[in-house]
Amino acid sequence: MAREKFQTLTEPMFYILLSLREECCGADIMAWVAERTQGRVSIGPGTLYNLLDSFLQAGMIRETAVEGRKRSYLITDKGRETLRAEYRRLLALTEDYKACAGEEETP
Amino acid sequence: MKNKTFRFACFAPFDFQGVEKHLSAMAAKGWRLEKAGGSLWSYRRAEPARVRCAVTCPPEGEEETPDRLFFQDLCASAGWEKAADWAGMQIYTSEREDPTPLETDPGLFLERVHRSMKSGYLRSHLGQMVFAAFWVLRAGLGSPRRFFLSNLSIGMFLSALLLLLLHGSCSAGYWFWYRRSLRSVEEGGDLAPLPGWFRALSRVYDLWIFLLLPPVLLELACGTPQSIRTGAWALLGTLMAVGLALGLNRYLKGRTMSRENQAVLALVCVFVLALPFIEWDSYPGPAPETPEPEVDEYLWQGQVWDREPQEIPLTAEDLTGRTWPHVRRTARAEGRTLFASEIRYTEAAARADGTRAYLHYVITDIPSDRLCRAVLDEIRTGPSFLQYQSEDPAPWGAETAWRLEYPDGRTTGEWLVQWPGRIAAFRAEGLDLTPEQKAVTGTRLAPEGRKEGTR
Repeated sequence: MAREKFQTLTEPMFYILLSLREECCGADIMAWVAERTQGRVSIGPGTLYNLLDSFLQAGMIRETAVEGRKRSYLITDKGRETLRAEYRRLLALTEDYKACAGEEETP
Repeated sequence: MKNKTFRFACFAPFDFQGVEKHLSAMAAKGWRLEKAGGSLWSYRRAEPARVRCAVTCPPEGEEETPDRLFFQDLCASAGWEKAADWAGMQIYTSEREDPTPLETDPGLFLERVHRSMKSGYLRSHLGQMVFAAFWVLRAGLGSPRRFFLSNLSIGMFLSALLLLLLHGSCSAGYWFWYRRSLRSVEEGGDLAPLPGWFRALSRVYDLWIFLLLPPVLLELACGTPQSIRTGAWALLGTLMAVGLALGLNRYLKGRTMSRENQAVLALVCVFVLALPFIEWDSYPGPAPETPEPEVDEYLWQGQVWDREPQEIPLTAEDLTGRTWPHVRRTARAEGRTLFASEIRYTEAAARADGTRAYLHYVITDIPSDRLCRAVLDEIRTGPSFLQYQSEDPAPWGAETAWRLEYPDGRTTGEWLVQWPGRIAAFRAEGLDLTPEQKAVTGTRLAPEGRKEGTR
């Protein structure tokens, strides 16, 4: 059975939503994610455009300003809830790992 | 030193690696993409440089919509400049040493590519497959006699069959690539590379319009005078249809109509425009006007007669043993192909006492027995309310013979006679054929190898 959209977030989805806790434009998002992850996660403009479009359609972010070609966005309550749910999911994964293999294999 | 150059670039719109490799190689040689037409791309001279190229799927809509401008702005902030629009995709270049790739999520990218291909590439191929299938079916369900006597029909059928295979292969090739890419993405990999055979197929596809030319040229080179005229019309019709479709496409480009609707409308236009010239090969042309007598002709009793009649296989004199002082004869090739040939003969004969006779016969040579039987059946079961009734073929020295009759059993002066490889449809007006006359007719009209056996 197909999973519901955004039930789990990919790394780019997670970081885009995280970056939008403060109002950001597209270029700022790419720069913020690269800086925050020290280059480990990079988001290409094609991918970013589509994720922003999907988030907008799902009501997880909203457009706050349009200046010429520049558009700015901010996370919505629904987006915050999705982000929190993802955080809880990641915590649960981490806790499970620790409980099962954490003692001997924790780096 | 020239500052502009052109290259044929026959890439499928999802052959991203092929396009990127080609453009990078051109940039290294000092040529930057200026415009990407359908297959002919133009390049301007620049300093040779290491340029990275990428193809992506832009937001839906026209070239300058706010969404597209926003998309371009995002690309520009990542170091990518738009080089050209091409086949519903966009080509970007970057001179940065290590720019962030345009697409960093292959799954998302594949989803967009698939959406774009379904509304453009696949729809276009499927539409053209329907068009080609119509052409193939038209030949398959139509008259075998008319089909096998026309180089144009045979050629168009073969071209349509090739087009059907080509469009089918292109569609199947895309699905093959999509499934492989989907599997690769699900396993955490990138989009699948395009197989070499599909690149070759794309090159053939870009030249598909030229597949229509061989049958037309064949008809122009080997056809009968009438079919040469048909071929010339077909060539003109094809060029007009293509020209109008291209013009319409250009006109619609600046309109608010969606790309999909443009494609469908252009296809409908080509289809509608193509129909008349498809039918031209069966159009007999305008009825001939009453000719003025020429140097080797004369007028007698309001009719044109030949001073020196041409030789034809069977004449009223052969049948009656009498001299007919006024004679008018015609012989016209109706069709000539590798499979069959047909010549129509007529003779009008008159005597001074007003007696007249009229002969009309069509000799169709078809070496293939199977095809010969099919054509014979087609003639015998034609749409006329008259019916062919079998009669004894012995007097004709033929294999089979039929006489055309009215439903009430009254006979006409029209026969159908068949020898191996030849059918003769024979009509005699003013003459009631005796068995001896049938034997003479058989001797004259039978194919060369059978003439000895008659009488």
